[in-house]
Amino acid sequence: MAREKPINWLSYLGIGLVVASYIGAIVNTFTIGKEIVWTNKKVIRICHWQLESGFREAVTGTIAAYEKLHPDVKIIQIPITDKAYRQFLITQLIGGTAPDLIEFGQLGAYGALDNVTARYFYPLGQYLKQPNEYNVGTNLEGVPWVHTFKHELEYNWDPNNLDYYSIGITGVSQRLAYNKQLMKAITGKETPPQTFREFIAFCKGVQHYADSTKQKIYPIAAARYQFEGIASDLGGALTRTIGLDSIDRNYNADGDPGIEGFTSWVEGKFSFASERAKAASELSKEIVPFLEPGFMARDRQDAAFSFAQQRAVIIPTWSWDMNSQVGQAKESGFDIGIMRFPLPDSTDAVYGKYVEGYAAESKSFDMPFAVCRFSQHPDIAIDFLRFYSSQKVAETFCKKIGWLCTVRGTENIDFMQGFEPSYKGYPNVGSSMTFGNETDNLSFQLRWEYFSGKTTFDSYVNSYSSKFLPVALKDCNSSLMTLRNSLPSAAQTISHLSLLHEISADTAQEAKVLLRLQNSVDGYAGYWASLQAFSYDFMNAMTQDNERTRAIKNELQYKMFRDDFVNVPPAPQGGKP
Amino acid sequence: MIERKRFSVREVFKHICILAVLFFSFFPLYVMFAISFKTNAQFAVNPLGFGLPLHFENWLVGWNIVRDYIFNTIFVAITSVVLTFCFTIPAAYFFARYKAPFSKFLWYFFLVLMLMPGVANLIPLFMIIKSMNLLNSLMALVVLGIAGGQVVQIYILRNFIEEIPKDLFDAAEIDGAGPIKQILTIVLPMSGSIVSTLAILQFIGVWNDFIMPMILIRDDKLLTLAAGLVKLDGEYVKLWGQMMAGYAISSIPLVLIFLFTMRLFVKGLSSGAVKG
Amino acid sequence: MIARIITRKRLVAYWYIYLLVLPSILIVSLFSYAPAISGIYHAFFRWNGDYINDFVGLANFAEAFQDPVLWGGFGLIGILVLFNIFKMIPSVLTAVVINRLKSEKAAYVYKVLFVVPMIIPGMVSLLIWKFFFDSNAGMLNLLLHKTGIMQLLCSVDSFFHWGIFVAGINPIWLGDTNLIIPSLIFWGFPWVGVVGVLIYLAGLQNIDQSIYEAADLDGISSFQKLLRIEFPLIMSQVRINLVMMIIGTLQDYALILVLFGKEAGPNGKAMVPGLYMFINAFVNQRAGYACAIGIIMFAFILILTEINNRLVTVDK
Repeated sequence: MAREKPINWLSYLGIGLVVASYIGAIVNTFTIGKEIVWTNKKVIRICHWQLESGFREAVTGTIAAYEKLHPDVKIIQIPITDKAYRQFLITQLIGGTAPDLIEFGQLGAYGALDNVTARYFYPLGQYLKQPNEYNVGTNLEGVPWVHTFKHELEYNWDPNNLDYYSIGITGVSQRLAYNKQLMKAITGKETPPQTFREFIAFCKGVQHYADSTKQKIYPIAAARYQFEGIASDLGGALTRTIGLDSIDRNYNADGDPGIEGFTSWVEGKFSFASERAKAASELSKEIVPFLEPGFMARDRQDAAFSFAQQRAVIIPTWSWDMNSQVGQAKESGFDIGIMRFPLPDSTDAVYGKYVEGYAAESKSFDMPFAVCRFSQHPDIAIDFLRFYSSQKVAETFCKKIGWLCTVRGTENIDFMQGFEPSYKGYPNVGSSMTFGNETDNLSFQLRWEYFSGKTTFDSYVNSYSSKFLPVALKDCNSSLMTLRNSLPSAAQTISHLSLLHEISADTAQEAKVLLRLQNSVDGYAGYWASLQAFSYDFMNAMTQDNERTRAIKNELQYKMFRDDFVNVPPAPQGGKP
Repeated sequence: MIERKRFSVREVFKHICILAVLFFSFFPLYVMFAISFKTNAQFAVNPLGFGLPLHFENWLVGWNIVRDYIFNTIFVAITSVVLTFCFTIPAAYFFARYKAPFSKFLWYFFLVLMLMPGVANLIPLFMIIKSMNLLNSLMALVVLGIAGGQVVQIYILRNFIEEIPKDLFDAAEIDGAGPIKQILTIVLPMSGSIVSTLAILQFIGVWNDFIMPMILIRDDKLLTLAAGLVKLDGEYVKLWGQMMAGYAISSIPLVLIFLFTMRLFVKGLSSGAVKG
Repeated sequence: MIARIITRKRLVAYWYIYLLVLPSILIVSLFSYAPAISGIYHAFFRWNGDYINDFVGLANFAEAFQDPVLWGGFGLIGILVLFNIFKMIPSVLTAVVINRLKSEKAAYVYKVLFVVPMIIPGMVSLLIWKFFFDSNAGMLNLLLHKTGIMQLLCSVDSFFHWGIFVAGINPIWLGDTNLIIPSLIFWGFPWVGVVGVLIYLAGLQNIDQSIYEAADLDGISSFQKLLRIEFPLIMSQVRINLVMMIIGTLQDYALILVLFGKEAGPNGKAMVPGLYMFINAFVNQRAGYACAIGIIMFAFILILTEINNRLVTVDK
């Protein structure tokens, strides 16, 4: 074995490069470390999955403004893709390294959310009763924090843990965006179609125009994502009575039928085959021929891309997508108009008798932030939330990101004009019976076969009804697995007690609070009852002495606790909100 | 005459075959470079060619995006490569030079790990890193790099050291040199190519690792390259030009290292590493 | 080198040699053995990685053996391995052709050129390929349209009624359940790996040019040369690469995770066991079940390695 050949100049250069880059790396690592680890400042991290254009810059702006007020605080922003968000959060929560402020969502494994909520996040109710000091000098001065929001954080109320765990300042609504120039070129009119039948005629006109000019233009740009939006908008206009009468058992109007719907289905209160449900499905199906072909397999960005490339006249868009849409339209040189999906009117031969008008728009997707229990400085995190939701800051922030602002007394950016959500009426509860992976898959598969025209409504409903029960039970069982440990914890008990306190102290709010309390407790108990009734696993376990039966004991204790509540004088006029 | 002609036709045919394969291999690289100078609008008009004007600022933006990722990766890669050798060369020397009680047992202790797939112990590994308080720190990646490199390196280095003539060690021992001195004066000078081959292989491994940084690192600024690039890919509005510039920049360090050490690498691959 | 024998008696004087290997043992115990043992232990628990940790016996394994997703994943691995075997051929052929070149200079230049595109980081080439497959901006659809192959595919499609390729619509390679597996197979075209080529070349270097000349005189065809002269020389390398490839395919899931996300594409069509383990651990919070899947994968790898060892010894 001979010694190696002496290394040549090339290798010296290589080694030199390696050493130089290593020195660079060490310097860089130290700079980063100094910035975020070995710093005297109090470091707060905020993570979210909003990668829409302009959002991160807006957060950076708010952070800079806050840091200017509080020079001893440093806030680090951690944006995560929505696809990776759940994995990121669960990993960080298990690891105990979760950021201080977390965009609240994607955490629930269909039912585990309550568990996760109380375990990992601070209840915020006590702070929300105090005025937000950053509102001093505005018309919101002295107003309790919770009342500074247009929707009073109704969705952020956690009925199972009886407290607020998150705060959001933006609202959401869904509209149709149309390409003004293209619409004029095709129809000769500037105004969009006003009624459902006009809309259908318009779509046919677009197809005709595309055929005669040999252009690739479709009436509506869509992916599955956009189609589901249309379906819920149209369906919601027809099926609210179903939701009101037979699905929303706990009256929390959360727009998520889930296990409540399953319970109703088992009891026979809800059927997939009702006339109303059929009308709603057929109505959505009427739109399918006008969507871009192959939409079911596409990403939502693909649809936005087609619209930006002027290959479609209309795109269903949510308020949070509008900023990107407007930007891309500007690049391609066209203007965007906003309209609401026209509903069939009451004189419509087919749908007229079912139409109930637009559903109340969701208060839900308001990008809420929650404070994590792993936070080293929860007080600062909460203070930052106060700052972020104060009138002026929130308005600037929402204008920057081009979203709807839900803080009272704020104005929206111009292109949000047509998006102002209407919270009037009862929301669309929806009738998609999904509460786990199995039911999700079944629903996707059957619905798609139906909407693509492979099956009729009747055979769709038949196969749904025959396949639903085993699949639903499977999902029930897996929720039960995760729910077992989500029985009332100390934090929940505290929140119950604080609620009792609130009832006795504030007589004006009493009725509302009590109703809320009953709703949530009923919902919780109903949820458990349905699980107990339909999970064989659970029934069998009742006879044994193991952890599971101990869990039931806990549950019974909880119910006793609940009875104490209900003995508080009943609400003057109970009813649906 | 005819014979020679057929001969060269065949030769030309070989060249054409290789060039065709090369063309397809280079195509992604070409696309990466071509797009890295374009805006999205230019890309929509002319996806394949080089469109004027060239947007060099894409590279500046790309550099700002991937700079921290690259430095972090270099830090993790080089630190872990150097430390790994501090561990593996003495261990390989032990196995090659001595036949002591338990040495056989210890040898199998290491060999068994070759069969152990990395995937099975991902979650417990995460827990161990958590209990060592190393989550969200580059040291976690360094430590995992060191641990991951042990078995293969000890195996290959042992084979290599066993081929060094015994006389050299004996002579050194007579001069009173201990194991460490023998490693420094005899093993190291002779194992340039094998060590650099192993170093490069490990370097590439760290450079491409994506799962571990993804679950261990929280802060954006501490991410390593592969995980950072995946993050970049998750953008809703994709500015292809900047992304491709970022990709190109992240390729450069590896290409440079490879070019400078290719002679050693090819030699190392053909001698020791293959047998493993 | 002949090893020095240290007997038990001489250990007193030579105890310090164990210090040479001690650090390695410690680090391997901590980061390889401890997690492995803990993984096996937790496979018998309903464990969410955090606060839920109940002993469930073999329930996780029982569930795994009946889990259609997991076995579907192994099925997909089988398909991928099968095609990966074919995808090894280009590397072998490329090495053979380069080796057969008369001009050594040209051979060297080609070697260097082959190295360049293949040492760009794996993640970069993965993401570029992902971009290739993009249905709107991607190169693949563009090339298919420009070369007219798309029209051909559409007419074939309308003949067989697949409903995959329809005129005027860009096929969604990574989103259409019918196209996912073909996309994964096409992945990485022209399937020439630099390490593979270099290893084969190293094996082929032992062939003297004179052997080729003698073969030419005997009138042996190129194909026979490949079978008789070249292939036997690189047989052992091919076999090693084959085993590495199979184990690699079985273990790897970063590709699927990056391409298709944690759902592994529509309907989980691209789900592989590794990814299934990963999402059970870090998305579904079922770490115990994930450990059980990991052990099943480990068993598969052990069996494959054992089969390979048997085959190798039989051949010798």
